[in-house]
Amino acid sequence: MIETIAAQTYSELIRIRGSVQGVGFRPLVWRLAHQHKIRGEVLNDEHGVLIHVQSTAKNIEKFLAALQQSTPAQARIDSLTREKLKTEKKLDGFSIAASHHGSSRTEVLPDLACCPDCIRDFLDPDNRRYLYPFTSCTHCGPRYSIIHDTPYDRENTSMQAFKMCPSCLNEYNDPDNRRFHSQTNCCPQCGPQYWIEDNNSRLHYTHASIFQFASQALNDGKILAIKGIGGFHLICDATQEKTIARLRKLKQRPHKPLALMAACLTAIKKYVFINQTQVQQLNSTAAPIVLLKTDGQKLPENIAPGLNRLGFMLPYAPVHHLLFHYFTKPLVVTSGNAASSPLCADNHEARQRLTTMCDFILMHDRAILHPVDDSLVQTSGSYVQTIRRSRGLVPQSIDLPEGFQSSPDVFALGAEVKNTVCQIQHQRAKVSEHFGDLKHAGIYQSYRDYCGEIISHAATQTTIAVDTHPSYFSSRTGETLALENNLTLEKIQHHHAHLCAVMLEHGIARDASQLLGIAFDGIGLGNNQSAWGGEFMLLNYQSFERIASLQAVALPGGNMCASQPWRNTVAHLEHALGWQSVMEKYSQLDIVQYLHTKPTQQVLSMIQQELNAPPASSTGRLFDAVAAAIGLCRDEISYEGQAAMQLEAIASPNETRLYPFAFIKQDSIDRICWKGLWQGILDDLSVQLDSSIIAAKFINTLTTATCRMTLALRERHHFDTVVLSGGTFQNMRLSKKLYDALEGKGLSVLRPARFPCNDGGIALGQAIITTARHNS
Amino acid sequence: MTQRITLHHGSGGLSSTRLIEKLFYKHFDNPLLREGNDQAQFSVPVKQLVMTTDSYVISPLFFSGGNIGSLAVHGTINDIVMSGARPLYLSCGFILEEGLLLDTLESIVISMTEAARAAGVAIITGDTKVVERGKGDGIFINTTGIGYLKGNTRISGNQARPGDAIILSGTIGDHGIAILSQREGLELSSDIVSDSASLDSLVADMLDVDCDIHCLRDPTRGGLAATLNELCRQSNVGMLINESSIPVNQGVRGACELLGLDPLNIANEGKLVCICEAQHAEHLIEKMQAHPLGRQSCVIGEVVSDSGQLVRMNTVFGGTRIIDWPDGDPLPRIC
Repeated sequence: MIETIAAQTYSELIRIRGSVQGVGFRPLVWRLAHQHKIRGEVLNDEHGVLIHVQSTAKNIEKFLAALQQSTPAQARIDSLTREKLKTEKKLDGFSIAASHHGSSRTEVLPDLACCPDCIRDFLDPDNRRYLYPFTSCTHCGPRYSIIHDTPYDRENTSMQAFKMCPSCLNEYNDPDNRRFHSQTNCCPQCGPQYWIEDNNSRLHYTHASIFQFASQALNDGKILAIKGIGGFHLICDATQEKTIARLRKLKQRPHKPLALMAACLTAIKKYVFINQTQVQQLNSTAAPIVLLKTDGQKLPENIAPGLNRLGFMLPYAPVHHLLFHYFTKPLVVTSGNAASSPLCADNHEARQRLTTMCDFILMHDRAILHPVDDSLVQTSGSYVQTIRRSRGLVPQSIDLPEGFQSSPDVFALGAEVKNTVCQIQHQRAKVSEHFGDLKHAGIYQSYRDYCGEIISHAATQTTIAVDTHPSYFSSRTGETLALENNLTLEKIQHHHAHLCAVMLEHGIARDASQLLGIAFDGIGLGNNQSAWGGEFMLLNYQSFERIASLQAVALPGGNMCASQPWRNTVAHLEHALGWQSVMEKYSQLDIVQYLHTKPTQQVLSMIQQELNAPPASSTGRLFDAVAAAIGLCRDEISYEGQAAMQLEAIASPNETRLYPFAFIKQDSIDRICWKGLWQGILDDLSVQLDSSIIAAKFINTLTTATCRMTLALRERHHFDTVVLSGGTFQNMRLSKKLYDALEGKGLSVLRPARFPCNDGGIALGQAIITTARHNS
Repeated sequence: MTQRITLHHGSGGLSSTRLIEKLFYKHFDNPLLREGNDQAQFSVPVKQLVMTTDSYVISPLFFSGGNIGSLAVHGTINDIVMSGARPLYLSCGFILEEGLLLDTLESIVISMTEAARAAGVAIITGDTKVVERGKGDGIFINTTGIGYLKGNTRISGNQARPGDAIILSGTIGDHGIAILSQREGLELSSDIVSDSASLDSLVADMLDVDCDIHCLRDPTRGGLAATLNELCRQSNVGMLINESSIPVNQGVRGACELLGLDPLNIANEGKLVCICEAQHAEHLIEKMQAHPLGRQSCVIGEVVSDSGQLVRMNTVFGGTRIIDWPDGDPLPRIC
């Protein structure tokens, strides 16, 4: 009797949600079903994976246990729910059924770096994929960049154009093959192809020898545009200074550091120091660019002028491995676009836009549907900070913390530069790829198209979130979208958004008690139209109170201060000591002499007359002011953060001294006053102290002042946790020192990690604040 | 004499009458005004009239290239002629601050007279009020203008069509920067002069050319950026302009760089933007260049189809930037 019951047949529907498509999940289910004598079928649908099982209760339990144990590395199960079905007729075998379509809740996977098995395949002369640059399997290959709709099936990707040949189809249908149901499966006979053109669209090579040809061209100092996973790259030999100079000129990118790629870790180690955390990052499936301290052999200075770190990544697409099969030196691998243009990802566009910047174009005939830049991270000890979150990391979403269970849908439009957008749906937040600076017409165009697409699919009660700055292109886009679609609009303060993004990624619950946020950046619009950028605020997700800040100093010329560091030096010296007294006591100083060659008097008049010289409590401009004072980037910078990055790069690592600072009251809040700092810097300059020491003393001062201010605030306000964010915290010395100091005082410190502390993280913060305010 | 305006001058009593007769009648002098009524009566020869009004508040009152008076006449005449109309008459309302020097007022009135005469326009009615010291900025002026349209002129901001040429009549930013250059300590280049001028004769010349002019507008407050954005919105089109084609005086460029201002956002008072059929542009420019106020006329770009109504500019660095609506007025109270 007991036997009969145990052997009784049950039917169940098993629903699995999460990142479960495009990772070999269905093949795994198929294999396990056969192993455990399960009948039924498995399919992808808009919710994830649905398994219909029929077997004994014991077999089903064993099957499910095995499934959860052997979840593929790239997969993530968010939930598994089971529903018993009424007795039904006996099913025949177990199969993978066609996908069901509908409105999508399933997650698209990020692009995955080429796996070791595939590398072996295309480097094996006996393999039918020998030297084939589109080799992939269920563990690797493009995903997000080639998909236009869910579920993840070939017909919803740009692989749809390529019909599998019989050999590929056999693999696709063979459950024991790692290409079983691999949607990107293809081979030289049936898949996409690479070819090489010169910059007059003249075809050169179409077969495998293009990589030899390309390698030779690189050796000869040529610049190549090469279509990869997320778009085109411009590449050249990283050991040829002249070629790099030419590339910079063509790209109109005079100083911003260029990314590098080398064949393997050993090749990278020739030039930089790498620790274990960095190795993990380099080897991860996202294969980001990792900033690494120079050490060992030197590469040309014009790769990263004035900096002491190089951004390296490892080959992540077969085409990269094939290039390094022939080319033995590191490569400069920078995004395929002119400065201020969007990443080029289309062949036609490449012929128009890239031909002036390169000698040859290596392109292929598989469309890139979502252009994605390379992601960029930096590390300090085991701390990993994402600076640009794009290829390999998007569109991975993040769970909302506790308390957000009934959250409404939100679409947040981000900030102005380094723009990303963020969608909250079904208690998850999904941040988009990096768009860039929206005032550039091409970038804005892609941004607007993307936003329009999202809104057209969004729920009717979606709330739109924008920055409080009325003239950000993102704010205006959001306002228009809200107006046109009759949606609620929420305006979010810039630094509040910075900080809440970090709270979200650390899982701070919705009703957690208030925290202290420290937001240091260039400029964000504060209350009463004032410019903020060095703020201490008590906050939760719903609201904030600004309780302290850096002292506000004029920005003579407004935005011009962000590109001409010397203006900030004038404004800070005038504010701290008075220009007159600086001239009297320090007239012999190089910086004072330099400022005499600039229209300093006129700038001072602008400050006195408040003529386009708004006061700002900006940390970024303080860095600029100090950098220019010690001789860095005085005239003009060509990329955001240049002066601050160079200052960090030269700062002497072992210096522990600092300059005096003071706390004062201004506009009824506590302010850090830099009078002592400036006095100290000028005195040090007078005795010709090395600028590396001054730079270090400055960062030490900022760190200590911030820490002391925090402790002073703690005496009057209740908080145990401090959140750090804002672009200034890309300064790893500041970030680390402040973290250590605050933790040392018993505070718990949250730092931005998976999402950028720069404006790339704003959208996430806007979204979660809006959700908190609208949560029922 | 340092006679000053007192509250009595606005009382409607004898002082008011004296002021009107000794100053306004004397200078503005014309038969309609001389009738001394509370209104001016006149007949017009055509069916289609054009009317506009504008108020002028500016500090300083006198600047290189003009003063608030000439500006108040030029500005309103220009608003009339941007419809293709001939200007006829102006009204003029003064709000004077107690303590204003009578001599100052007279210079302003003389400038108005000269500006109006040059354009063949009569100031035929007016009003004067005086506010207490501290409640005005010396003088505020309102002018209303009336003009008439000949024939079937159909020039309007909603007439721009993709493919049209965008013509600019000369350098931009001169007026706004001239106002700023009066500020102490800035020591801006001394050759920065306001372009304040009446565009009636330039427009008359342009209308003589056999071509389709779709839009005319003078880029005053908010500068060229605001004007182009307005036209895009009205006509539901986009624009693509070239930075290298837009004339900017060297002094203005330098001042803008120093002040962190964009010449595209700075006010002009004697320039116009003309949108016309591309094929007629060359001919029109020839005519414009023959006029003293249009010597530097040139095509700065073209109208394109764009439901987003964006003004885009190819920059001298090779990028393409969006030209946004100016963010309020970076220079408070300049026109």
